Amino acid sequence: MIETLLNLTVSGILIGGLYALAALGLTIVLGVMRVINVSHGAFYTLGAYFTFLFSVMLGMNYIAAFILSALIVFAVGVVYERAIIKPIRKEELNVLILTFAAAFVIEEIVKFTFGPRYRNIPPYLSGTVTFFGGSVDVQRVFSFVIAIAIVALLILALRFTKVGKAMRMVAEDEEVAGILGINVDRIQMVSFGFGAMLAAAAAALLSPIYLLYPAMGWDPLLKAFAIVIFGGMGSITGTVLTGIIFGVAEVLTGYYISPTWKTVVPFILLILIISIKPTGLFGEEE
Amino acid sequence: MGKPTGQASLTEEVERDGRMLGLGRLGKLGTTSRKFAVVVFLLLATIIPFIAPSVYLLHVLILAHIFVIYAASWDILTGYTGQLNLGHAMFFGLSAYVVAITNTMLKTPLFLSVLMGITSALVLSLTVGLPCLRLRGPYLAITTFSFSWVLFLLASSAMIWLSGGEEGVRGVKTFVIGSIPNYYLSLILMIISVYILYRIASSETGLILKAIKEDEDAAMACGIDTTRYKLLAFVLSGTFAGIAGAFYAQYMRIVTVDVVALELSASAIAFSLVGGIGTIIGPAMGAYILTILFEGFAWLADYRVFIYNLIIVSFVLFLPGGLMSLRDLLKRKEEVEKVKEEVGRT
Repeated sequence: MIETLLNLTVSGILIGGLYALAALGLTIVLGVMRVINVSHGAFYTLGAYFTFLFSVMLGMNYIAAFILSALIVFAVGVVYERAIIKPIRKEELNVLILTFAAAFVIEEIVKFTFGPRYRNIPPYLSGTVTFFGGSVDVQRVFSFVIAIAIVALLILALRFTKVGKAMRMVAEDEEVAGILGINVDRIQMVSFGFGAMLAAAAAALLSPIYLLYPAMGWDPLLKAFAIVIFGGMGSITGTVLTGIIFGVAEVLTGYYISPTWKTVVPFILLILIISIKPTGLFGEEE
Repeated sequence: MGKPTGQASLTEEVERDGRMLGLGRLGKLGTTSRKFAVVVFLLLATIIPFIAPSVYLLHVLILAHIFVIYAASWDILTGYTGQLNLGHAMFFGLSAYVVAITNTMLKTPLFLSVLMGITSALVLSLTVGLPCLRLRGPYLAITTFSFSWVLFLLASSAMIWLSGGEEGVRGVKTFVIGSIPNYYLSLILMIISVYILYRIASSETGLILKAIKEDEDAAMACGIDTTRYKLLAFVLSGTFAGIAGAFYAQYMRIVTVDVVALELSASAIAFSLVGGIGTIIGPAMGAYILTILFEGFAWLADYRVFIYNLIIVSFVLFLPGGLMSLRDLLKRKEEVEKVKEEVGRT
């Protein structure tokens, strides 16, 4: 009984770490640019399909494919920001509508290029490890460890590197950052690229676990929205913790209630938090 | 001469915007040319079954009428009031499903099913609206988006025993049989719905909704209970989308998971942007044009989602006011030229 619970919690944490990574890009773009990027899920899809292209279709090593696709999606994000976001960044309504539509455009392009059918990437590592009497795929542990390493690197980079400090300054106050000599425009471009790259990284780590299909991005996107609001908009700690909480909640619901209902769990939590404390768990009161 | 600021100028601006869109005098349809266009449209719409009695054409037009109501209902909330709804399909879809499920499984009379469908859309609009209307920022967009996604998840997997998933719910009864009766029914329903929405939008209520869109704080400072008006817009929007969904269910006689898909929500935005958001008539026009174009040319169907969304992207970037704003743009250009001339003279 207790063992099952512990075992389920472990698998929940493992998947939750990846949710956190997927949501983190959204948090960074939201914090630095004050933009809700509905195309975030499309970058996730792109990341997965680029990993598929390099590792399965071109037969490259999975790690190389992972890094390559993250870099490409970073570039896509930068171009996207220049072409679409920058002209209308201040118009909140239009940004939301535009990024929503652009996500469909990207999804359709993926569909035209790779076809509508399901694809899969074989696991990079096979075998299982045992936790509290239950077994967990090594691939999941590997993906989780990499995800957490990326999150840790990101937090360190935000704290200690020049670009990271500039990003935090722009998030704090755009105008003052500009006065202090930070190139706000360029920092925002880079942040958007990073946001896209984090989505792609999460996708590359999840794609040996889940199937690929052109509309795969909506589920992580909506989950990421729920995570970002639940954790408090713009809070990195909130995002990471909520990601893990959501992962555990989902796995437990899937086991104790019904596997088909677990996909609905994040949204029940979202509606709860909006009704009770809309600023989220770690959000600042306005 | 700088741009005047402050409270007075906001009201002026709202009024000027209203005038430009032909809403200056309450309840009037606007200029004579617009009246003429409406009369010509109504005449054409009435005689079309006689001059072109093609079943397929009528089917396309019936769908267009349904989507006109659907687009106009999106516009009253998002175009007029500025409250972004990214999941408008949920009202349409819930109503359609309720009609289909009650009618086929519980065997309730169609009339009652339709009433239940529309009521369910109304209740859903209250459920979604109440928790987030007091909040600013992107909450509403994310909440509406999430609600419609949940509905999609339920219909496509968790509650497939009820919704039938891709197979759908089949065998819904219909009010009238044949394309010509259905055509006229849909035409009348569309005219009434658009007329009601247009009248509300042209009334003082519409002006208040526009004021909320322009500057909610200023509207509040004028003593307007903005939450109440936003909720009103929400309920109107949900109910009319529900009407469209209910009609769709009894006309198509089958309801599949497409009616709650994200693509349908995106369609509402595409229709409205093509016509011009915040004008009611614009989105109605957009729905007509796009539906006839895409249902009329079957080979376009595969590219529909792609083109609809490409249209949204291009219109937001290059013509955010839609086709309705073209005339104003030209007028403004003339004005600018005039001012330039005057400045040149002095």
